[in-house]
Amino acid sequence: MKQNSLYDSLIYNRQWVITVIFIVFFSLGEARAQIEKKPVNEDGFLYHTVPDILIDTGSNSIHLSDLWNTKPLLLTFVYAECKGICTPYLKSFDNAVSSLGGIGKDYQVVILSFDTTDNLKRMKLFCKMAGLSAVHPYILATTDSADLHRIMKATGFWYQKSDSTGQYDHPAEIAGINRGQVRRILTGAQVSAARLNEVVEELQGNYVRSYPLTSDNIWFRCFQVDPVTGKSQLSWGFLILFFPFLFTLLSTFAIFFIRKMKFNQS
Amino acid sequence: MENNAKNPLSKITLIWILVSVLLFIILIMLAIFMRSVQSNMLQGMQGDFYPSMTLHGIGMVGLWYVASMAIVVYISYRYLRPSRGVQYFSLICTLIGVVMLFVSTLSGKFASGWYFLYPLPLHGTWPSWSTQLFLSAITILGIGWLVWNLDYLRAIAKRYKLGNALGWHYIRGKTEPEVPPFITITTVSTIACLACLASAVALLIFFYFEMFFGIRNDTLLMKNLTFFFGHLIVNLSMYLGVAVVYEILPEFTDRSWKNNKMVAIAWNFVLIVVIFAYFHHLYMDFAQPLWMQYAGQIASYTSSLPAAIMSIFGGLALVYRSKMKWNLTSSFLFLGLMGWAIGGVAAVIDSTVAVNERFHNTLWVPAHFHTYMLMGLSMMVLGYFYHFVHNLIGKEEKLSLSFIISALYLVGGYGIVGMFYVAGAGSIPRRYATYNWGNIMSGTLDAQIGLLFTFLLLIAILLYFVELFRKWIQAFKLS
Repeated sequence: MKQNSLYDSLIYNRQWVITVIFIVFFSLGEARAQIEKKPVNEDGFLYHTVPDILIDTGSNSIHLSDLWNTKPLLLTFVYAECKGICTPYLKSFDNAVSSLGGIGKDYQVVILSFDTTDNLKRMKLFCKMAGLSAVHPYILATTDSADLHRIMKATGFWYQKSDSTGQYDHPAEIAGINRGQVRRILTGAQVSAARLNEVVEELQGNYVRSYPLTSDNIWFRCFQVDPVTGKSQLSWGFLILFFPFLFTLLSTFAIFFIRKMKFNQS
Repeated sequence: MENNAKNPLSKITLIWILVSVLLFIILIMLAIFMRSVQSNMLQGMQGDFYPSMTLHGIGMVGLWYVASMAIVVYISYRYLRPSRGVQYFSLICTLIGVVMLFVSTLSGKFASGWYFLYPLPLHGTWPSWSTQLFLSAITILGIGWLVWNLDYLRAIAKRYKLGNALGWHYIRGKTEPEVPPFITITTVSTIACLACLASAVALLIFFYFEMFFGIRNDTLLMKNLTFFFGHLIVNLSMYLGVAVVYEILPEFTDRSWKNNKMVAIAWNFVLIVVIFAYFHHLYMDFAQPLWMQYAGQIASYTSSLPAAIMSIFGGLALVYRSKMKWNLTSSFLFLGLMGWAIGGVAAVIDSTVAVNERFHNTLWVPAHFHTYMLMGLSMMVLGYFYHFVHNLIGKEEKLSLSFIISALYLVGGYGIVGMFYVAGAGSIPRRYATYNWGNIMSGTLDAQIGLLFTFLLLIAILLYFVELFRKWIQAFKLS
């Protein structure tokens, strides 16, 4: 059969066209669902109350409030069978904790499994395999499904099982909790000591400085900050603060000088 | 008694008086609304709290600046010849600006607070047109006031040399030519006001660049410019009010308040240092260099103390054992000086770094600025308004009514600021629509008591207005 136009071609191959449309539609829907779940927006959870769930730490079961009532608490989620980001994330987190110091003294860390089939033995083995320092007194814990979903809801953590791999898709998240409230949420597989320090400082009630960094779209700034050394130096924008002085001096002297000139002429 | 009818600025001054007092009453109504919301008496109207707060703040700052400037220009006619056309130009710019501010806040819900600190105006929940209207209003007001100041400075320059106007010859030990302290203080204020308005110009240009061309701004630079403008305009308004007291209070004591070496030194010191005092608004900005923070505290102390001490001791010496004629005008001028001193002390306390760490953004801040504005500058200006209309029609004040108004104003005013001080000392934060949770709940009770005092003040102002307006009509016909 001769195909005369694009329309004829589409009609002839309509079953393929419909199939392609379905595939595109569902894959877009799938992608959108994943994109919606990926970022954890800190703003939606700050200062929200965290449920006082019961966790199993091996030797005994304790409430989270037993921990946050004594020291600020960092809570993070992993699972023992993870072949994805859990290992590099925990290693990076451990390095940041080592650089920062003070774990157990200034703050506590709970590493909670979000796989309810996990047990403490598997978690310990996993953390050892991931290279977590044995010196750091991390609190490894599991909890039941109901409590897990309550704490996930309060901290914005989520996971989704992939049918093809059997693995969970999930973010790397640290929730900073103080006196039963979320005070900070840190996300990302790479944990820098500086960012972690900000979370701990915030939890301890200290003032955490923030200042927008350099941007190409700002013409005048009071200071420029060297991102490597962190040192700041005066920038051209600072001179703008002298504009009012200059304007005042010039206009005042102009007015009185003109008066003097007129006076001399008369 | 001076014949005010011969002064060609009488009519425009009368218009300024009417506009100022009416605006004052409207802005007090907004204060009552805000305190009612904080008292939990107007449930569900919290959303209107912040636009009202913005209009109340910018309105009061602008109102007392134009009111004090208007009477300074009027009084200056004794020595100078400021342009009458410029007075009308300033009045028209002010009226247009005020209408725009009302629309942008009450209709457009612009609610960034009176000093529109960057970047809040560009990131609010209100429509962008209200931000544009608000900034346009500030631009029009700024143009009108800049021309006003330049003309006043021109009028000074026509009669005095710069050094003489600033009283430098007194500092050198000479006594001639005789320059009234009124001229020295207003010269200092006008020159400093040029800097203040230039800062506002730079600020607005940066805002417009971001709004129309997307060029972002440096928050620290914008904050410096904002407080350069905001801090100065409030201080300069008070200095203009104090200049009026220097000029008018002696008329009630039959003594003169002359310029001398100490007065000249004090006010020249103000000119040099007051510009740097605004640094104390940036104590919480860690990126500000440390030397500027130190300079802020030093300038806050040194800019306020010499002028305040000279003025307060001068005022007390003037009144002490004199045959003072007490009426509403003289009481308000004298008590206004006292309110300026009390509010100034509270402000200096807050400008101390160690104290500011605790008091920053608590109700201590509105406590001190309401003291020197409401119980200081407002009293000076309202006192002079009363004097002006009575003088113009050649009638004496009703002393019984004057006593009632003064008593209600004092009790109401100090009650209002007293509740702010109590709340501020208790760390109750400012700019909160309600205080219904945690350890700030006592703020609700403070607001409720404060509200009662605000009603007393409103009664005082309404009585004042009724009496003033009756005389105002007669004066307007005569002028």
